[in-house]
This record gives sequence, structure tokens and C-alpha cells, in this order.
Amino acid sequence: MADSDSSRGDEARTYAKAGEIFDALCDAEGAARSVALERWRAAEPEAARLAERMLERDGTQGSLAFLEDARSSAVQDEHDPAGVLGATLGAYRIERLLGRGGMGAVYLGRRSDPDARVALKFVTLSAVPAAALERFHREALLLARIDHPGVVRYRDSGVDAHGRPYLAMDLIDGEPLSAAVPELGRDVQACVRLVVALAEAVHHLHQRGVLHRDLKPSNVLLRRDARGLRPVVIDLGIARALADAQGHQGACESADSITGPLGFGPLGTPAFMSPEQARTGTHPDVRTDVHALGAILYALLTGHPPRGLDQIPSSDPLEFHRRLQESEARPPSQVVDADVFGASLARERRRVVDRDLDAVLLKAVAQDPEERYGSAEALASDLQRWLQGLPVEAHRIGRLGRLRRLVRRRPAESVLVLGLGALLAAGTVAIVGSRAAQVRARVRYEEQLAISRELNRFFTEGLLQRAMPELEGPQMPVIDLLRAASEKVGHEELPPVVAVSIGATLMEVFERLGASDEADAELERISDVALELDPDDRYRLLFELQRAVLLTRRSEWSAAEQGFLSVLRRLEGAGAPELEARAANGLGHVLLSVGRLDEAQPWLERALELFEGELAETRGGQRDGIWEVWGNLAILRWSRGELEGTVAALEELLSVFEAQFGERSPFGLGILSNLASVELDRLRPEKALVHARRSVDIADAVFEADHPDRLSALNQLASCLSFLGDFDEAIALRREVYAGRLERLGPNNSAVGVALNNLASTLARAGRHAEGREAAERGLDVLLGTLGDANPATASAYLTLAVIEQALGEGEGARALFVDAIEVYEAAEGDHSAAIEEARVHLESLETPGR
Amino acid sequence: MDELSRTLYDEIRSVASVLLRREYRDRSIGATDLAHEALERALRQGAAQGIEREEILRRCARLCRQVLVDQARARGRTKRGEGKRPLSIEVEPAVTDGLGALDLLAVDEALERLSRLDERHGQIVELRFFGGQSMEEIAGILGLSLSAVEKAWRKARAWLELELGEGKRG
Repeated sequence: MADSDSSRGDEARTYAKAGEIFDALCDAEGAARSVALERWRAAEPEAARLAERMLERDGTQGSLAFLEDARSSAVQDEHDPAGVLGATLGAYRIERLLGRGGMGAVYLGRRSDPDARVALKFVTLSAVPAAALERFHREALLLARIDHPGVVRYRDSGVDAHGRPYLAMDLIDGEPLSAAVPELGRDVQACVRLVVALAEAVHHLHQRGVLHRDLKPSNVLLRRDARGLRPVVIDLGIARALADAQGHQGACESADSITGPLGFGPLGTPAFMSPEQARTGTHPDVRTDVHALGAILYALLTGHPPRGLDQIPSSDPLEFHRRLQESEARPPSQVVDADVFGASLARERRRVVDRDLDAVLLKAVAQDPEERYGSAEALASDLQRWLQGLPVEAHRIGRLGRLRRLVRRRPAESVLVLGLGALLAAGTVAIVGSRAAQVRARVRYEEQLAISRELNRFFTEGLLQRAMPELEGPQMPVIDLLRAASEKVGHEELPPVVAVSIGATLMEVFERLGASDEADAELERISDVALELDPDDRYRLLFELQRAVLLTRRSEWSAAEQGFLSVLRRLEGAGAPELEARAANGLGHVLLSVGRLDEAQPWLERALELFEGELAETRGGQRDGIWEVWGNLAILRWSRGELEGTVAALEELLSVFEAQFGERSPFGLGILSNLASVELDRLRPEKALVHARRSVDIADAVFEADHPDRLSALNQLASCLSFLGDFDEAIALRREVYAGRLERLGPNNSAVGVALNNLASTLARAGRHAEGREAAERGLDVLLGTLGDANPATASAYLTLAVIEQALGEGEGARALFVDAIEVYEAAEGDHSAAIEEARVHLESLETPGR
Repeated sequence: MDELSRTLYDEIRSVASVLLRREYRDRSIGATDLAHEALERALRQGAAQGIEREEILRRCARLCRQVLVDQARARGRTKRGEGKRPLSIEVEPAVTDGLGALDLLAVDEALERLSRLDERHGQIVELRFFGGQSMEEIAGILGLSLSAVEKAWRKARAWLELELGEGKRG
């Protein structure tokens, strides 16, 4: 013991001495250093030897590399920056250096069996933490599935001897776009066609969830084929993946630049950057790539990227930043550079680049992403229109603008009507209807007209004016007002049809306000009266319609479906377009909710046809109704994967609602929630979060805690938070949603199953697998029992459980569940390709252990 | 372990499990990631108990190291047999598993030896690698000048490289 203590003491002394020598030698140079070393060798032989060997290791990237912070940089050999020449990595032998840049180097690799040449891209900075590597490989796996002639084909990925990731991709025989400028320069149309092809390739990427983030002329190679020059996008998402792997945020700019001198500005300048990429706290989305596509065409046409960013000296980053952040680009026709193209060509070009093309480009590179094209595809098609000599969209006022104007024209009417549209819907039943029907039942029509006047008076004068907070009158909670109305209906001697009509409406309104018990009581109160009416009586049908609406809101899908169908069958030829439209919309909604998209579509179209046709000129609740149909049609598009169109439709709808009711109206709640969902689907969580927070704020202000619409809003918010990694709050919200729905809807309800699945999925993301498993199993049971095994919600529950089983090490179980998930997704209608892809990636990782 | 350290350890372990979940299971995780996520919570908790910031940072680095090493041990045992030293790392495309884990154990042992030779050097390395701290921060935590920390770091690092390099050959 004493022996080892004393030997440790000696070692410590040697280490300390070696440290002194080390410092001294570091400070000395040349001859002085040799002299000092000689002296130390004589005086302290052991310590001097240690110091010398430590010096050999000084600054090397060896065994510690994987722990090193990326801040330190390795010493690089100019001809072999990654230090891999001649090495064999996986299936590839590294033959020569093709190009290099700030953080990356590209080598030519050869694969022997089958014989193929690839480009291998390396990171040349220090090593990478394993977690980042894993992320990198996952991204590489996704990239490897992208197969499009306009996108470089990724083949493989791996790590080199220093733990640094590399990617293997097809070698493209072509030159960078930047080098081809002189040739393209003569032909504006050719430039536009080229960018159309480029935009189509980029759109393909976007549809597969990949953002490029760093599009610029040096990242586009031109391959010559029979049809001329074809662009091929390289370095997709890789810059970012590599930068992330390095722990460098926002360092994407320097991660590539493998090509020769560019037509525009020095290598590696961020001249093609979008304004939002220079801001902190904003995340790039598809419109960032849209900006880059516009910037590329802008540069091809004018000789410079937008805002003249290539002309700011790199010594002046503040000016660069200011111009990027504050200025809009000038119309390209005004900035064609005669120094680049020569005077006569520049003149010609200023003529060919007309106002339309100016408009398209300015829209594409707008400072505010909101003002740009919503997708690369939209940019491509507008450029296509320009090529064909058609008017471009960039000029046109959208449907939104037209709707806004419509609302401005008819403000007074809409406030009341839309305020509680459902209330008035009952009152308008009698006054709409085709002329034929009116003739067939003239007497009855007169009678109903009288009733409807009475109803309108009852609601608008007696109740509604006081219910609308904007209007003058005592501040009485709506619910109390309605309770009073309900009392009145219960006690007053009213003709059966009036009682049924008011009761049916109250039923719906109570339900909408979250007062399920009162809605049930109302249902109870009037069903006897209603069911005594003739089966074809409008008010009987109205009652049944409202009952089906109520069932829909409680997610009792099959009962609701039966209800709507039965109403629709009896309405055939009855000349009651309002009822028919509402029932068709209701049925469409139910079918959508259970994933029967193809069946839902004709019903929704029928409803729209009625609202836009026979009902277009009638006053009353149809305005409310038509927006519901638009909302449902938007959901239909969404279910089929048309995210872009869905967002546009929902935003339009929202803006119309807000124009009517202000920004804090509960009527926009569902739209906000749906918008949040779609934005999440589009991988834009920040945007989604804004919508979700707003809808929860509104719901908190308007509804009681357990109101179903509030719970839906909470659920949406939880999804956003979970996506963004804020698990604690997300889980708390998930639990609240689950508890609320369980209380209100009972255990065997699909909405409860969905809540369980969501809870499980968030728990899993937070690493709480054991808890997650329990919730996932229960959720799956409920969903199988309620929605069956051809439904996307059920498939999602399989997927959740599978991920959890995988995490808990139950590989076999997980495998089977992933397969189930894929099967169920495939059996369900709609576009579930992203989810299926996710499941496949998981499956693959199970099948190649070690990956 | 005292009370704070125990809470910190649990805290860090739970952060680690979240990070692991994010990166899928069976992966070693970056020390810096771990330290930063844990630190924020640790600082909150420590402040509530009236413990100085420097002290918390120091303990946090120590505990991050412990969590990572515990993890690596557990994995090393199941994957490759206990106690084996890493061989030189052959390149296998797309295989990262175990690589960090076994290296980490070797670093941990070497760091232990370094600490016996010079405790301060050991602390600096620990704060740097496992605490994710910058040189300036380390100087602040240990109450040393920046140049002293930099000098010590350079030596400690060179010694570790030497030690680990020999371990591999041997």
C-alpha cells in the first residue's frame, strides 16, 4: 500500500515536472528549444521523455476526438483534407480529391462490386458526437429514398476513422449552374425553363419532407441530355445535417462549395440566403427554398442575386445583414448588369424581362415569406404560364380578396345571421325551398312562413340580441339565456312544430356550448312531440337532423351516419334544400371522420352545390352552413395529402370569419385548430404553435373547462409542444384532454381512443415508455372497437405501440406491430405515405441490428 | 452522494433518457447535449437550495460524466463483454454503435489516472468534456486565470491523448 502510494507520488511529481518542461518547450523555438531540451534530458530524464511525447500529441485529434467540441479545428492537408486518400471505407476505395470547401471535401470513390464510381462527401472538421451521427444517418436514409432525375441520388452513408460522417452519392457528369451562365445568358426563356425544372425537382423534395435550405447556383449541376441542359440539385439537406452533426448551428453556408469560381461573387458568400435564414428564432420552410429558386433565376437574368448581396464586401457584414433584412429586391428588368452581359444583350434582356416576369420574381423573393409563393410547384406553374404567354398569378387577386369584398358589402346582415347561425337556421327552414315545392304546398307554405316569422322574432328579438355581447343590452351569459328559453318552451303552450323547431335548435346550441346534459334534456323533452309528427314533416326531419348533429359531436359515428342517411332519404324531392344541404354536409363530415373519403366527397359536393345554387340568394343560416362545407372540403383535401391547398383554403376561411367576428371569436376555433394540424403536417411547428396557442386562448376565454372544443384545442396545442420537445406541458395537456373526454363521452368512444393514443405517443417521445405502453394498448383497443382496422387513427395507434415496444427492447413484438400499422394505413383511404414511410424506416432499423 | 448531487444525478439521468429516446435507443449521447439540458434545471434547483453557481457547474460536470460512463458500462457489458479495451477503430459504414461507448470508458479510466496525478487538470478536463464549459467559464468556476486554464488544458489533453494512444497499441 505504502509502496503504491509512494509510486503514485513519484508519478505525480514526474507529471508536474513534465508539465513545466512542456510549457518551457512550447515557449522556446529553434536552437533555444534544442538547448533547453538537452538540459532537461540531463536533469530530469523521465519527465523530459514524457514531455517530449506529450508534445508529439499536442493538438492532435486522436482518441479524444469524439469528445472534442467542434470549436477546435484539425490541421488539414490541402490535397487530402479529410485524410482518407487511398483508404477503403465500406464498399468504396477513395481514389482522388474532387473538391473542397470550408467544412467539407468531396472525393471520388470506386466500388468494385458492382463497379461504380461515386462521389463521397466528408466533413473535415473535428469529430462528431454519436447522437448527432445517428440523426445524420437517419436523414441519410431518408435521402436515399429520393429518386428524381432532378435530384442527385444518394446511395450510402457511413463514418470514417475519425468518427466523421460521409455520404456516398452518384457522380454527376456536369458543371455547376454558375459556370454555365455565359451559355445560358443569351436566352431568357431557357433560363426560365431551367428554373421551372429546378423548382419541380425541389417540389419533389418538399413533398418528401426534405428542405434544401441552401439552394444556390453552385449547388445545381447541369447535366446535358438529349433535351438540352437538365438541372440536378446536389447537397440537399446535407449542409444542414452536416452542420448539425458538427454542432454548428447555421453553419450550412460553408459546408459545401466544392465547385470552381462562380459567376457571382466569391465562393461561400451567403448571397442567395433568404432574409429569414439570417434571423434568429425563425425556421426555414418550403418558402425559404422558394426564395432561393427565385434568387437563382434573378441572378441568371440580371447577373446578380436579389438585393445586390454579392456586391457587399465581406468586410462589411452589417451592411450585408441590413440589406438582407430590410430591403425588398428591385424589379429584375431594372437591374440587368451591362458589365455582365454586354451592352446590347443587356438592352435586349431588359425588354424580354417584362412586367409579368418582374412580378413573378418579386413575389418569389419577397422579404416576408407570407408574400411568396406557397410552394415551389406554385412558382413553377406561374413561370410556366409566363412561358406560355398567359397572365401570371402573381398579379391576380385571390379568392380571399373577393370574399373580403363580399363581406364588406353585406356586413349588417351577416353579424346576426352568423352570430348563432344555428339558431336562425331553424327559422329559415320554411322560407327557403324550390318554387315547385312551394307550389305543391302553398297552403302549408303560408302557414310555415307565419311560424318562421314567429321563430325569428323569438330568437332575434327575444334572445339573440341579448346573447351577442357586441349588441346593447344586459350582459347575460348565453347559456342562462338559453336555459330561460328552454324553460319557456317547456311551459308555454306552443304549436308542436314551433316547440320542436325551437327545441331542436336549443339542443344543438347547448351541445355547441358544451352543455351536454342540457342538450340531452332538450332531446328528451321534444322527442315525444317530434316523433308524433308525420315522418316527412320538415320539423320532424329538422329534429332528426339536429339529433344526428348531436351524435356527430359526440363522435358516435355510426348512429350519426344512420340519422343523416334516414333524413336524406326522406328529403328526396321534398324541396327543402337547406335541410338537405345541412344533412349532406353532416353525413360528409361523419364519413370524413371515419376515413371514408371517397364516400364523403359526393355528399360534400352536393351540399356545396345546394349552398352555392338554390340557397345562394336566400337569407339566413346558409352562410354559416357553406363555411362548414368549405371547412370539410379543406379537411378532405388534407386527408388526401394536399397540404398546400388545405392551408390556403383554411386561411381564407379564417380571414373571412375574423372579418365577421373579430379575432377572438369562438367560431374560428375549429379552423385555427385545423390550421395548426396542417402546419404540423407540413413540418412548420412554430406556425402551428401560434395557431394552437391562439385557439386555446380563445377557448379558455369562451368555454368552460371541459368543453369539447376547448379539449380539442388543448389537444392541438399538446401536439405542437410535443413536436417541439416541450414534453412536460404536452403530457399534462394530453392527460387533461383524455380525462375530459372520458368523463363526457364514456370509455368506448373513438375520441377517447384518439386521446389515449396521443397521450401514449407523447409519453413515448418523452422517454416514459412504460406509462406510454399502457395508454397505447388501451387506446388501440378502443380504436379497434370503434373505428375498426381500416382507419388511419387505428393505424396510428399501432404505430405508437410499435415504437414503444421497440424502445422497450421488444423487437419481435414491435416488428409485428409495425407491419400491422403499415397494413392498416394501406387499407385506410387517403394519403398516409409519410406515416407508412416512418413505419418502414423503423422496421428497417429493426432488421439491421447495429444501425 | 449528498442530497443535491442525488437530485442532480436523477435529473441528469432523466434528461439522458429523454435524449436517448430522441436519438433512439442504444446510442451513446453527446456529453455537451446532456450537460446543457441538465444544467438549466440543476441551476434552478441549486439556486433554490442556496448553492453557488460554480459549485453546481462543477458537480454537474462530474455527474454527467458518471451518467455517461454508467450508460457506457451497461452497454459495453451487454454488447462486447465486460472490461475489454477498445481496439483501433476500423471503419464500418453506418455503424456507430458501441464506438463512443467503449472509448468513453477508456477516457474515463485515463481521466481517473490524470486526476490522481493532478486533481486540477482532471477537473478542467471534466468540466470541458462533460460539463460542456468554455475555457472562460472553467476559469470562472475554478477561480483561475484564463491563461492558466488554457495552459493546463493543453498539457492535460496531450497527456490523455498519449495515454489513450498507448492503451490502444497495448
